[in-house]
Order: sequence, then C-alpha cells, then structure tokens
Amino acid sequence: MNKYVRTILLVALSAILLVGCSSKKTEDKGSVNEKAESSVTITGSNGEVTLDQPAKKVVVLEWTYAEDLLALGIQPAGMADIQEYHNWVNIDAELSDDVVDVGGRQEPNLEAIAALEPDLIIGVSFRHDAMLKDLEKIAPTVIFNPYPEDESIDLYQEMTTTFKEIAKAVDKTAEADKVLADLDAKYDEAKAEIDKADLKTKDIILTLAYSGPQAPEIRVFTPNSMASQILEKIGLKNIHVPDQFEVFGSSTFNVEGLTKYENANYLFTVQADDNVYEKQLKDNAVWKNLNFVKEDRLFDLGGDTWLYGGPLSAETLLNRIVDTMVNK
Amino acid sequence: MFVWISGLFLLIVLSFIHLTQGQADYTVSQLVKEVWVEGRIQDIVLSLRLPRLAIGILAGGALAVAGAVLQTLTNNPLASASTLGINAGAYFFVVASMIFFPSVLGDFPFLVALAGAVLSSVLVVALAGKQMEPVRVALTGMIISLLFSSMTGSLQLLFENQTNGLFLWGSGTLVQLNWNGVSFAGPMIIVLFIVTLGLAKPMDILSLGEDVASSLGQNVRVVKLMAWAAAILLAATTVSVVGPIGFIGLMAPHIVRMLGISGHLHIFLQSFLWGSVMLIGADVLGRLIQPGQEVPVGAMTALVGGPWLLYLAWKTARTHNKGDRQMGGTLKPVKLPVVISIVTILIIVVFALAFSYNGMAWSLEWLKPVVWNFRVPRVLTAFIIGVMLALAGVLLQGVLRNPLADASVLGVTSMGGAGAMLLLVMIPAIPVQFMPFGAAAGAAIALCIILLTSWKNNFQPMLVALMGIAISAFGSAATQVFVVKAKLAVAAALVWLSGSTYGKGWEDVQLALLFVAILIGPAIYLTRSLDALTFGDDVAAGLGLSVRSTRVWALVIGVAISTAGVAIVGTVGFVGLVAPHIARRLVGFRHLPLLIVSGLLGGLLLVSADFIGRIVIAPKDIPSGLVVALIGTPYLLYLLRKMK
Repeated sequence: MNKYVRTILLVALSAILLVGCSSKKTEDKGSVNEKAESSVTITGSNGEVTLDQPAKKVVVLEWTYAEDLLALGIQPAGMADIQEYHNWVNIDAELSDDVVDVGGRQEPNLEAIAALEPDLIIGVSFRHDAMLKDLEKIAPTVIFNPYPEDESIDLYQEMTTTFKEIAKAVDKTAEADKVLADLDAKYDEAKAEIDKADLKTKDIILTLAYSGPQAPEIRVFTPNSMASQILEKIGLKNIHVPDQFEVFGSSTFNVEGLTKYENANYLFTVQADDNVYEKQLKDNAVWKNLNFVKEDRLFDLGGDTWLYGGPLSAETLLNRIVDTMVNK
Repeated sequence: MFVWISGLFLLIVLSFIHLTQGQADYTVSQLVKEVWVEGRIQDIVLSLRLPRLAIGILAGGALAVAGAVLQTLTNNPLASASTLGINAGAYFFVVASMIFFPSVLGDFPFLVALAGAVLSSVLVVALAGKQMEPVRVALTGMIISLLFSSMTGSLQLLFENQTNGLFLWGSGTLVQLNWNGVSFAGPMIIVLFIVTLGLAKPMDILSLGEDVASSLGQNVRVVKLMAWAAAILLAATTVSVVGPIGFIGLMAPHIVRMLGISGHLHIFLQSFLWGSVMLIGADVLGRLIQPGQEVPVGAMTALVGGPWLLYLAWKTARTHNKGDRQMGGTLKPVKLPVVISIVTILIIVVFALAFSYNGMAWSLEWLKPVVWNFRVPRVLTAFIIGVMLALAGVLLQGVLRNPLADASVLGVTSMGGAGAMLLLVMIPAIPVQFMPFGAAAGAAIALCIILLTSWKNNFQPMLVALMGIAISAFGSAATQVFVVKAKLAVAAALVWLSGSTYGKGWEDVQLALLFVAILIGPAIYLTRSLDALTFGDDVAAGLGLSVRSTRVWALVIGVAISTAGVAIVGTVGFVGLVAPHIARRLVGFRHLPLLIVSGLLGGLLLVSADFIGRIVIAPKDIPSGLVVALIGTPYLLYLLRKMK
C-alpha cells in the first residue's frame, strides 16, 4: 500500500507545483514613462497605477465608480450591468445613453472592453481581482476595495479616498474637492433642518430588506458603513452596534432582531416589487407591535436610494432622509 | 414502547430548547413567566417561534416518512427525496419561477414545487427502469440532481440581485413569520401521512416481492402508484415551505430500523417521530453554533448526514455484490480513420466559427490583439479541458465498469468545490487564483476515502460508485454551508463553481497543455489493462493482470486529469459522462480508439458550449458548465432510456 500512497502524493504534489509555478509569474511592469510631464499615479488595492496622461476613456466595472465619474462630470466610455444600475441607483447625474454596456459586473466581456480602447479600467476587488491580469492587457487597471478588512477605516472615508483617486486619474481633483465640500455644506444644512424638525428621537436604525420566499432578511447598517456615517453627519444616531466586525457594513436580522431597536426611528429602503413590509410582515404580530411601527416612525427612503455608492448616492440619501423625516 | 417514549421525550426537550432560541435574547424564566400574558414575548413565541417549531416537526416527519416509503418502493436503502433528485427538481422550479414568473410563485408555491418534484421523479423512474436496481436508481437520481442543481446555480449567477435571498433557502431553513406555512403544509402532511399509514399493510406484502403480492390478490400497481404519489407529495410540500432539506429522509428510517422496529405501520409512525426529532435537533444545533445568525438547517442535517450516508453506502455495497453492467457500445464500429476525420472536420468548423464571432460582429482577423489575446486562448482552453474531462470519463467508466461514472459521480468534483469554498471561508481575502489549491485538496480527500474504503473489496465497482455518491452529496452540502457563510464574496466563487471558460488566457492554455502532456501517456498505457477488465475480474486475472493495481492506477490518473481540469475552469460536469458514450456508440468498447474519439468529442463539446454561452446573451456570458449541461443532458437521458 505504501507504494501507492507515495505515488498519489507525488501526483498531487506535482499538480500543486505546476499550478504554483504558473501563478507565481508576477508581472514586472516597471518602466515608468519619465518624460511625460502630465503623468498621474493613482493608488488602488492593486498598488500604484501610473498613466502617461489623465484618462479620457474610462471603463467602469462597478456602479459606485461610474457614479464617481458622473459626479466629476465625466461619462464613462463603457460600464457593466447598466440595466440593473438604473433599478437600484438613483442619482442626480444622468448616465448618457451612449455609454456602452460591457456585460455583467461579475464576468464583464473582455472583448467588449477592449473594443472601446479605454485609457483606464476601474474594477472592484471582490469581483475583479481574479481577472486583473486580463484587464491589464487591455489598459491600465485600478482596483479599489470598498470593504477593507481593516476595522479602523470607516467606509465613508474609503469612499472619499477612492473618489479622490478617481478624480486624480481623470484630472479633476479640483472638481472632486468641490463636490466633497458641497456635500459637507449639505450635511450642515441637513443637520440644521433635522434639528429644527420636531423628531421624537434622533436614534435611528437604517435597513435594507429583501426577501427569501418566506422570510425577509433585513440588513441593518453598522456604524462603520458609509450610510451610517452620513446619518451621523446630519445629527442622527445609529444605535445598532454589531456583535462582530461586519466587513460589508451590515448585520443581517430577521424581525425578532428588530425588537432591540424599537424605540428608534426606522429608516429603510426596499424594492417596490419585493416589498417585504407590505407582503410578508404586515400581519405579523411582532412587527405590528414594534414601537416604531405603532407610532408610525417608519421612513421609506425609496428602493432606488443606493446605500452604498459614492458622493452622489450620499447626496440622494441625505435628501431623501430630510424629505421623509422633516416633511412627514 | 421504549423507542416511543425516548423519542417523545427527546422531541419535547429539543422543542423546549428550540423555543428559547432567537435573536431577541430572553432568559428561560422570562419566557416561561411572560408567555402567558399579552405582550412582546407572547407575540414572539406565538407568531415566530412556535410556527417555526411546528413546521420543523411537520417537515422532519414528512421527509422521514417519504424516505421510508421510497426505500421500500425502490427496495433501495439509499433512496430518499434528495437522493432521487426530487428536492433538486422542486427547488429548480421554485427558483426559475421566482425569476421568470414571480407572481405565479407567490400564489402557488406548492404547485410549482410539485411540478418540479413530479418531473424529476418521473424522469428518474422512467430512466432507471422497472427493476429499480439500487445503484442504477441512485446514479440516475444523482444525474438528475446534478442537472437541476447546475441549472439552479446558473440562474442564481445570472440573476444575482433577484435571487439574493435564495442562498439561505437553497439549503433549507425553518424560518417562519406566521402560521401560513403551517396551516398550508400541516393538513396536507397529516392527510398524506394517514394515507401512507393506510398503505402500510399492502406495503408489508409488497416487500415480500411483487409476485407474492399479486398472487395474494393485491393490486400491485395501484399500491405502488399511490405510495409513489404520497412520497412525492410529501416531499414537494416540504420543499415548497422550507426548501430542500436533505438526509433526514435517508437517515430517519434507518435509525428506526436499527432501533429494532419492523413492519411498515410502525416504521412509518416511528419515522415521523424520529424525523421530527432529528430536524428540530439540527435546527437547535445550528443556532447554538452561531447564535443570532441563521444557519440553514438543511446544511446542518447534511453535515451530520454525510458521513452517515457514507457508512450506509459502504454497508449496502457489501450486501449487493453484483454490480457489473454492460458498458454498451456498438459491436459494429465505424472505421477509426473515418470517425476521426469527420470529428476533426467538425472541430475545425466550430473553431472557425468560435474564432470569428463574438456575439455581435463577425471578423476573420484572428490575429488582431483583441481576438488573439482573449478569444483564441479561451477557445483553445475550452478544447483542451474538454479533451481532459472526456479522457477522465473514459478511464473512470472503464475502471468502474459503469457507463454512468465520471468525476462528478465519484464525488471528486463536488469535494473539489467544497475544498475551494472552504479555503474562501477560512481566508476571505484570498484571491480566486488560489481556489484550485483548495479544489485539489478536496479532490484528494475524496479519492483517499474511495481508496481506503474500497481497498478490501478489491475496488468493487458498485461500492466505489456508491461511495462516490455519498461523498458527492456530502461535498455539495458542505459547499452550500460555505456559500452561506461566505455571504457577499460568494459571487466570484459561484462563477468558478459552476464552471466557466470565461477569461482564459494563454497561460491557461500552456498549463492545460502541460497537464495533458504529463497525463496522456499513463492514460494510453492503461487502455490495454482496461480492455482486459471489460471481460470481468476473473478473466482479467487469468490473463495475468493485477486487477487491483489497474483499478488504483486508473482511478488515480482519472481523478488527476479531471482535477487538473477543475483547477483550470472550475466544475464543468457532463463532458466526462457524455463524450465517452457517444464515442462508444461510434467505435465500440476498445479503450484506445475510445480514448482518442472521446477526447476529440469532449473538446468539440466544450468549445461549442463555450461558443454558445458567449453569444446567446452577449455581452453577458452564460457559464459553459451550464451550456454543457443543457446540451449534454437530453442526450444522456435518451441514452439512459435506451440502456435497459
């Protein structure tokens, strides 16, 4: 038997070695073009990326970064999953009709991207790390990680850093600063309005709900999330404290878990065709008797208020909060 | 009597613990005191926790009884709603209707699930043939499951946002929001259970053998039909309310028999009780492991049930000793050069098409960087991987002397998937490129289990196939658990799991070629020994062949080839099953020509699948694993039908 075990081990070992060798070939993209005066260097989760000159044609593979470009007044050349984007993301800047759809966010069509001959491709870590090499064959590629493992970075901070990096890449740093400054001004305005409004409490929880066939799942945003940071900026207080660090900025609850927070205001988004509150929870005794339901402190932010995203989504969120909370 | 009392006692204790668990933390004394007065605690207990408990008891019982009925009907200790593909079929229908006709599902979830359950069980029964020979039934069920779950997986991939909430349910959960589920499923299950109890007597007689039964004046067909209907309805009812939950239906009847219960009336009654105990126990356990989080109960039952199935498979195979079957294959082979040249021409045509069309525009400039960098290596990788999977199929089918064997049936593929997912769960930040290491480890474990358990039996084909099914069930259950645990990061993993030739570059071509270069020699060398094996172990031994070492080597090489393929493109099924079949019908059963023709056909199949997946919904991609399943399954089903 020993003989066989040894051969099996050998086969397995050699297979592993083969795979190992082939994936170890890290590419050496050293030669930085020194002579180009206008070259820009941006930093993503894949390290520093240097462009000879600011990018004109950009392909974005994740909605957030498309939105960042739009905030800077730039239309992407190509973008992934445009149709779904319109369902989930509602921001003030319109996406032009001639932006080319380059396929799904998960497996974007490499040929379609290449056909656009972009100057820069922007991807997101949890989807596109694996295809970085392919993307780099087409154009310089920067990958961002909106969900860092590092607990000390809050997701709002991450959003602004990324936004500024993207601005650098398209030579719009001044515009980016302005967008962020305007946003800060809006926070102050909103804070004043919220303060003025006669709210019973400023404690809130913010949720996004969707359904499995018989049970809604409710994402409750953690203080670390971008959306929650925005709430704090306008004088609201997110009272959800997760038991453990949540990388994606939300804990998942069912209705029982909400009882802890029933005295807070309940801010939520839910897709109109998947309205778990109307369809599944309406007659549930626990839901009906939660204080925020009984006292009608439910604030619907609308299904297309994207609780992730960039500065424009932040602005939409802020406007919707003020609209619903102050004018209710 | 003792069995009754201990079962009831367990059920009561577990139910009590079950009621104390939930995201709202109340102490036991709070619960006990305040549940009687109107208020929050009463609301929670009455509208969330009690329905959950009730549905658990009903579902566990229903699944167990369905399992018991199916085991008698098929005279097959491995039968249950999940091993017969019933769960997978029902679940696929639910997912598909959720995406395409959301309003239908909302109104008639049960009918949708039932349609799926009926379809898959009719398929299994029709294909497995009247004798209901255990291995054939189990393998057929396995293939049907494979088909449905690969289609479900692909739908989830393509409709990421619509099916977000389905992952949890996909492995079964007892979460309830009101009494609707109970009041819908309860009466159905109780009525069906009573019908089943009424069938107990006739089934006692039936288990003496059909001839005896009909000579005793029993209308065998009516009894069988009713029993089938009851079992399928029970399974479909539970799937429509709690999702597919495996293993209860398999384990509970066995435990009952092990406790010394005999006679169908008692077996059914006790199965119901012990099924409830097991399902409630699993749910309690799941919430103990991760308080405040929803761990799918189906995953818990699978974790406990997988090893059990393994044991059962081992025991079954030892009692059923005759497992050899005809490999089929034409006796009048077409001349090899003719076949090869026709297939080669086909391959050239498909290559030319695949190189020239990207789904939107035709172009003959194959050397243009876009095409040369992305399309050409992708097509080549698909071809080489297709060849490899087909070669592995030939070796594994040859050694197991079973035309339905391939890497996925041996459990190698699903354990590979589980290994890769485990890696992703343990190290969430790990790049997808490293998933092949996990896959190789998983596949190696599967192979080790097969080698270790089958060693004594001289690699009896039957045993190996059964172990494979058990391992495979365990592997895919584990994958489900990991998918739930890995949450959002799962999209990339799912792509990989469903098998995708997406984004393959020249390095992948090189790697694949290297694998082929290393492994093709041994494969060819083995063909002569495999030829000898087709005459049976005794003849082969008489010819001076070491049967055991041939089997070990063919298994190892076959698994190595398919694992190499999985490492590059993920879990593409069906090629290894279908290509050898077609080849066998063209060139007969001698292994060398079989190997060559299968390889070419496998390559052809995967290139075509890749091409179709690339163009149908361009610029989006359909994973080629799904396309292969869609192309391959009808053929396979036709073939199964013919191989009476």
